[in-house]
Amino acid sequence: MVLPPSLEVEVTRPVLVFLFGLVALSASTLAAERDSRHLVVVNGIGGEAFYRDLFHRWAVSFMELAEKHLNINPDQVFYLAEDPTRTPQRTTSQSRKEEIERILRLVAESSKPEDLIMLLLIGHGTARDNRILFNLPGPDMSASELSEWLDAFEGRRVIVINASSASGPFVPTVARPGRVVITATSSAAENQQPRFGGHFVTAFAAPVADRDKDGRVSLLEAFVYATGEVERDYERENRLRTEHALLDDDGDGIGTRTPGGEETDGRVAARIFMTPSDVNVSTNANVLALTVAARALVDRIELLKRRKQELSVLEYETKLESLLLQLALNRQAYRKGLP
Amino acid sequence: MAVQECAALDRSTFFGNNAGGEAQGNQMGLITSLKLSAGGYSAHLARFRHAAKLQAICGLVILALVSSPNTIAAEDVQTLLESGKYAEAAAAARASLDQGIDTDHNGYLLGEALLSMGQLPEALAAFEQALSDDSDHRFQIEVAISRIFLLQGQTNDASQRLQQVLVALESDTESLSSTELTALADAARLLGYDDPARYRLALRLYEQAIVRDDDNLAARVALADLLLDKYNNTEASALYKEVLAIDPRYALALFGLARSQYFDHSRAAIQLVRQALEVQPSLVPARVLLARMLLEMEDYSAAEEELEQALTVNPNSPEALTMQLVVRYLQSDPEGFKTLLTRLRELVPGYIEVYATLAEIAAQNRLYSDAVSFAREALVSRRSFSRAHGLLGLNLLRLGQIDSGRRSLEQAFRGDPFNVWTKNTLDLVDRLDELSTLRQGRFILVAATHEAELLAPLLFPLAEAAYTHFAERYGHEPRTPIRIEVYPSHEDFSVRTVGLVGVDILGVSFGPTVAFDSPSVGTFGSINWGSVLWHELAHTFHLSMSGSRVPRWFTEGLAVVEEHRARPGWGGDVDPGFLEAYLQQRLPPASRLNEAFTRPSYPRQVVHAYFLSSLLLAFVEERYGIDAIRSMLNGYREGLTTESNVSANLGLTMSELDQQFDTYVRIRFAHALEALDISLPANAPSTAGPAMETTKSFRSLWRAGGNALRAGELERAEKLLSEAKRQFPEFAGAGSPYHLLAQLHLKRGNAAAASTELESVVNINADDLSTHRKLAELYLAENKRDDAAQILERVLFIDPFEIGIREQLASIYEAQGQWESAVPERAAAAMLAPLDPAGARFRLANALAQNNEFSAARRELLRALEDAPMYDDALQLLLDIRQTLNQNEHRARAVPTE
Ligand SMILES: [Zn+2]
Repeated sequence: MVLPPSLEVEVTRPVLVFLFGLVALSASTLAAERDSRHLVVVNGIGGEAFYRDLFHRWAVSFMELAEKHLNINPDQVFYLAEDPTRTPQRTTSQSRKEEIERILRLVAESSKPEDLIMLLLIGHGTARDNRILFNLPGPDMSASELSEWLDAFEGRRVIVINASSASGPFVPTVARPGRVVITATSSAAENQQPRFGGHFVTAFAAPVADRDKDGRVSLLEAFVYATGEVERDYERENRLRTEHALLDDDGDGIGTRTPGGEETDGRVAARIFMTPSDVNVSTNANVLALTVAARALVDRIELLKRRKQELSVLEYETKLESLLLQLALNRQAYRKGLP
Repeated sequence: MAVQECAALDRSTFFGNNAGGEAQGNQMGLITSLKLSAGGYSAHLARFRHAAKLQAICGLVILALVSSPNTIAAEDVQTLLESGKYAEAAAAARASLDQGIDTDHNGYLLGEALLSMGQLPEALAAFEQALSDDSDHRFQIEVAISRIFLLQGQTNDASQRLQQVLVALESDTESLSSTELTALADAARLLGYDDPARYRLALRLYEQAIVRDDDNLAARVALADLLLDKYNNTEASALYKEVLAIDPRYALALFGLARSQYFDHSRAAIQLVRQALEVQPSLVPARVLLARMLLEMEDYSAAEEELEQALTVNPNSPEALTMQLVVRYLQSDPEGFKTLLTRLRELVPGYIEVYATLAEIAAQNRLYSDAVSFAREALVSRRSFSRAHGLLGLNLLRLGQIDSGRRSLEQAFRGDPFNVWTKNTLDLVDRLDELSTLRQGRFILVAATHEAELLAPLLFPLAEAAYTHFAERYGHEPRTPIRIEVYPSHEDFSVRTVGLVGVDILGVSFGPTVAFDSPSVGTFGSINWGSVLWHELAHTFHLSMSGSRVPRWFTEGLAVVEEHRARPGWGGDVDPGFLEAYLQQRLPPASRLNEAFTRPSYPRQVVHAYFLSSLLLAFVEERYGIDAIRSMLNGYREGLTTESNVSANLGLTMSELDQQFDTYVRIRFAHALEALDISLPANAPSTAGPAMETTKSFRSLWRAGGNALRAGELERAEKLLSEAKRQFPEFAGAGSPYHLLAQLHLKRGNAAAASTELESVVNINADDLSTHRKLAELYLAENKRDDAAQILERVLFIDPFEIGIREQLASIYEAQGQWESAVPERAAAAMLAPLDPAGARFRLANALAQNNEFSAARRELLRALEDAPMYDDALQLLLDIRQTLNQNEHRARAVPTE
């Protein structure tokens, strides 16, 4: 049994999702979806060989994952490496400050409004005379310089991930409405090399990171997964945790360690996916209807959850199960309808 | 209940009248001590007073007694008194009084001398006679009279007198002498009993007395005594040392330092108290303390000898009589106890400390319900006796009576806000409220909510198994329910055991209550909590059987034996350090084992003592059987001493026991003992040269083997380590030859050989988490699922809170279709904050469904899908389960009801 799409529930969800879905739908080609996402990976100075290798590995594995798993157009993946000779075919340029500025301007010019731009910074950070820096070959890049360059991305959705040590102060400087800023540490004092980056780059391909099991890892889910793994690392090794990642997506410049749930931070990140939405996989009208119906059911479940306190356990569970069973049948039909 | 902040009595309060008081206090303290150390003159004077001068005075006394006209000065009588020559002091004072010389001072000194010899009425008469309004010694005399009143139980008279003394503070105190200030301080201190604020006043007055005359050592010692009584041992001990730096033979300071060390459970206490007695053999309280320490070592006859000597000096000493009472009590002599108690009560009806001391010692001997009765008895005599309220509260808690215990502690704290133990325990009780209580069968589990649920499925069955096993083995069943407290913080656990043991421990049995650190604590590294529980429950049986009269070494040794018998690898093991200590005779013989528990002489001695005791009990069981052990436990209940118990049940004298046990140990570890070269220091540098190897001692083989392994010389390493292992196969501590050989085999890619080595480790050492995990990993790599599961199941008794282990175990069970076993592991994994909560719930639901628990599975699925509605696998399972449930309901309806 499949229920007809119920439109009245759409308003109960943040409009963003629905619009996002429709925009994608009307654009409606795989290529368009692919081209709407851009990735810039910057590797700062590694210092010791150990970190040079580690940072390089993180960068390369994330780019591979972006192209293969997240289906991002390889032409829109840029790599600024500390040592461009290492993987010349992958590398766009050396990660010098002026090169970063140049590439960012390039991406800004070639992108469209509503496009998603992710900038991933991997390396060491330092705080010097109140200036928070990301260490590069040549002059370092400061948080305010980066923030200025990002102004060119007006109307696009920008995600900045600074996985370096002492990266926390990037949040207040770089945060703006329309930007998501993630840092591996909370403050300049957290200046040990963090592990956050390593876990973050694997999150998008880790099935366990998909907490709500909708088949895609949202930016928020990736953050939660990476911080959870960090916590476990430190616990396992019985060491005092020296890194607490932050996320800011409401643009107020105050990052949150535990976004999602009650926090304002996390609401936007929860709706950002690096993978294309499954709606675009098929243009079959029936499948489309099923998808819309499924969303409606999910919305009704959300509504029911909000009423949980008013209902008896029995009532709640019966209603919940009934909705879930409808959803289960919907998904069965959906899978059959796929080519 | 929110308790107010615990007051601290420390010296800084005197100077703490503005911000930064503490720093100022320290500075002033520094100035005082500088003055003292620079004051060669006063130091010299003091030393002179107590050494050379004493000899001179003794001559004078003899002279005075022989030819009465030559009386000696009152100051010299005082020196006699301070050096414990009470009879001489009394005689000299009397001679002066007869001559009408310095009557108030000599009268006071006579009173003090008589008081020290226990002649209360005579002392009182002397004091009253010496009392006059214009006397320089009025305050001292008033305080002395009050002390007698207090002993006689005339509490009101005493406090009125003491209040009266303190009236002097209302006028100018500038003119008061250091001695007078000290007397005022003494008065304030005595009043502190009913009004703790007076302690601060006392402290201030002692400080003033010291400032006024820094040669007044008595004031310093009195101040230190006050600080020590108010649990500020750090400052007290520093003060005693300060006094001893001025006069190394100042007996009261030596005694004070001994008490301070005793407070810290330090072994130095006994040396210091002996030193004090050497200087002043008539120092009764020091003899009493010495007797108490000897009792702790189970040396009853030596203790009694000390008490005899004390009573020779002062036949009515309340402290000495109390300690005699303790001896009667510990030796289960109810008749003697009653007679002596009656006498003591008649003699000094106001001396209620007798009950507090009895309560304290009862608790130290794990006789908690007796401790409760004694504390209650004290309160009958004096409602406001804070120390008794505190003892009552602590021991009620030990008996598991939390609410009444809390009420008593609250009362104690109101009366004595300086007592940190009371304060900490009250805080602990508050935190106990936040813990969860689960009851199952004979046991009650109290633990942090999230831990209780995870522990319960493992803990309850183990506890029941222990009970059943012990009940059969000992032919005895302690009262149930037994309360098991699992503390999520080591600090809280430590509070629970405060005052009982001097070393940091991780588990305790109070009999009906056992407590230990949660496995999540990790203060001591990885620990097998299952073996800890087993050990503590064994104590519960021993305590119940012996009426709590089993000595510590006996029950500890026996509890370790029980661990060894219970599961492979449980219980402490032998290591080279233990055998070296044994060979070097750093461990006491069997007959004096308690010493190592109560006053360890080196840091690891307690650990070694546990193992040594376990050997002793194993020896007894091997030779004489469990019946002898049962019979000894009953013997202790009947009040037998170890000596008579050993003689009655083993037919041995203590020295025969020592000898036979020594032989037993030497035979049992013959190989290892031979291979230990104790001529080498234990931490000899690892110069793994050929010279070392030729000694063929265990340590050098071990070390050289490790070095060879690191250098990649696998063959040589194997030879050396195999030989080390052969010499000392019982040793599987961290980095043992087994561990190293396992590494070696892995380097060669021989996983099977490595597992064999690691199997040996886990069968000796059940605390070694990483070896268990490594072994499980090796088994899994070899596809030995059953073996891996078995090892991982053991791991749960080391770390039940590691999600990875739970998931690993569940997967193994599932792969083998053992769904019933998989369910609890999946449930635990879902509780352990997984990164993927919906996934964990789904896997639990799946295991439940496979185990035909459909309703439970449905509920888990609903929880999983609530947050992850698009979870296809979960949705599919929900559909399947709904179908099955509908069919079942349908079938149920079709069957006619009976
Ligand atoms: Zn024990």
